[in-house]
Amino acid sequence: MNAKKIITLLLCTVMIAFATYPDGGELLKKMDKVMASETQKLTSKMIINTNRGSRTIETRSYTKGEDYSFTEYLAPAREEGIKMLKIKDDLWTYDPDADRTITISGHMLRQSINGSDLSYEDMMSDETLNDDYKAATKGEEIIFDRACWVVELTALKTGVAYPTRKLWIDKERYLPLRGEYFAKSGKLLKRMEILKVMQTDGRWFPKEMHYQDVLNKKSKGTSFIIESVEFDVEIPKYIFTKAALKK
Amino acid sequence: MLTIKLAFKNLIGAGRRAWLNIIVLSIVYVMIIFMVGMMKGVFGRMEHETQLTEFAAGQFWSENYDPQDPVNIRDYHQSYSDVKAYLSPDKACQILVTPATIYADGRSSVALLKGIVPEQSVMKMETEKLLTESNYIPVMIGKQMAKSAKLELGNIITLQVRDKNGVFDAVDAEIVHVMQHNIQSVDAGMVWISLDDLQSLLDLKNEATYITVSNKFDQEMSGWKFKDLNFLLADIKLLSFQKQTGALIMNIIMLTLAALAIFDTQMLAIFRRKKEIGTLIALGMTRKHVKMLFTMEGLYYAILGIIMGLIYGIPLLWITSVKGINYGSVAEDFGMNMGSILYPEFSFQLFLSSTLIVVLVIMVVSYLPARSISKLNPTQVLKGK
Repeated sequence: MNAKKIITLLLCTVMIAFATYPDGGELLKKMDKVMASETQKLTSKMIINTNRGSRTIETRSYTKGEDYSFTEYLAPAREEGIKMLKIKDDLWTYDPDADRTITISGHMLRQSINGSDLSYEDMMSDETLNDDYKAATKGEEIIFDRACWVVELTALKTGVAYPTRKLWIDKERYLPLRGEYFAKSGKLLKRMEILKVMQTDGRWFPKEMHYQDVLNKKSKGTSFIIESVEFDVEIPKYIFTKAALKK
Repeated sequence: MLTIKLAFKNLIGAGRRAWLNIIVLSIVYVMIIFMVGMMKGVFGRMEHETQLTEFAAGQFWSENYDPQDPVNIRDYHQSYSDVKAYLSPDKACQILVTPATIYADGRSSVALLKGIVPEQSVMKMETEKLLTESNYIPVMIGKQMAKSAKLELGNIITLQVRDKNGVFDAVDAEIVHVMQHNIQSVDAGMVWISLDDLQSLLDLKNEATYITVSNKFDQEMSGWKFKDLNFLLADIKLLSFQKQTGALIMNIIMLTLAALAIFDTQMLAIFRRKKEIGTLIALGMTRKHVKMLFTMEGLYYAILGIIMGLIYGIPLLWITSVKGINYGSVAEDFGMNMGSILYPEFSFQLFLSSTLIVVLVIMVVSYLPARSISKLNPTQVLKGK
């Protein structure tokens, strides 16, 4: 090996060793800015894949900040009219067949929604990650042909469901193209991937997401397809009241 | 004495009809003993085994523990630090309960994860197996759980739990033992793990959901609610009462049918043997004696039925009590603390009480038709009127 090659190799090693990545916290802030909005109106499909086949549930949701969310089931006919209301830490569901409103609390929040890979808690936890995690950029990778920053999140406080997470944040669009959720032992529990994106209201937003319970090796996961989304729209106040459940 | 001999001769002389009644009565007699013995054996054993395996001499429950509330069971635990000095493995066994998700071979299922002291000798469970050396966390399950979750000895499973703060944790565990007893209340939907391992997983050092104690334990434990065996076994006792009531109704129906047949035979006999009755009275036999004669005839049905029943019943019942009756998986699927082989339990008292009941009932149904004899006019009946 001649001297030129050695110097080049040394330089590369030094460059890699001292490569500066963007601050993880800043990346999270940018990502939160892309994903969050003051209010949101969203129509989506949840495709639950099981060994016996798949089921599709269509919903329309309204959200306001982190504390208010209202979801109405549009299809299939059997589940049409079911509504869910979240106000801060409380969650209620309304079943039109039984004409009853049920409070979902405690461990019921950890139950799967309609047999999907998502729990009520997963649905409810849309808080900004910067509040709960300390982020550190660990490298860069290509995911779905997009250059991403690899960011490791470590919980800042006790009581955060997943003590560590790993995100692959699109360098250009700041979308988390892949998210991995780890247990206290370091075992990978869940994986989320954004398979398709769309551009709406001048921002990039997920179009199709896939959630997978990694421990269940035969699980085919749950897909979440966003049909339409509107940001910062006017949402009538009554939507976020319990009275709206029975309307 | 004459009445007794005459009654016996008359009965034997009645031929096939009499023997048919005797056979039916013997079957009813054996069936009554069998059904009562079956209930006694099954529920007695269930109660005994449940006590040995699950409740020992009683349990101390944490403040809000409610076993009927699996949704919030994760929150029912409290510290036993203050009473730790009293909790030796031969006197008391701490148990911590939490819901868990089990992942095995691409399947997931929900179970209750129960942490138990491996060295305990309070309950008849092979918890010492949890001390088996393994590269994973050793756990044990019951045979019912193994069957329903399709698990077997040596399988590696992943347990997912949430600690006291709601943080997810997941660890690999090895099934080091499959319990073979029939106590489903410590088997179905449960995975047993060492208490230390579970406390460490949940970050709940020195905390338990309940404490099972042996007869040797005689301490008061403030902050813990003591539940005695009457309370803990109440469900089994209630079930036993319900089933025994059902069996009693069946027994009454069977005995009534047998008694009706004998009543009918007696009525017919008195109607057909009016001339014989008239002759006996005309020859000097009192009406009381004639009534006794017919009652005795009826009583012989009971006596011969019982003797016949005992002849084939004793060996039959003895074999069933020793070998048991195999109900296969049907019995295990009942969800009760009983195995696939059910053992009836027969006692001398059971034979004696069943015999007395059958004799009494048959005597009454034999006497009732015989009462009409006192109204018979011997002259008229001898004339054939």
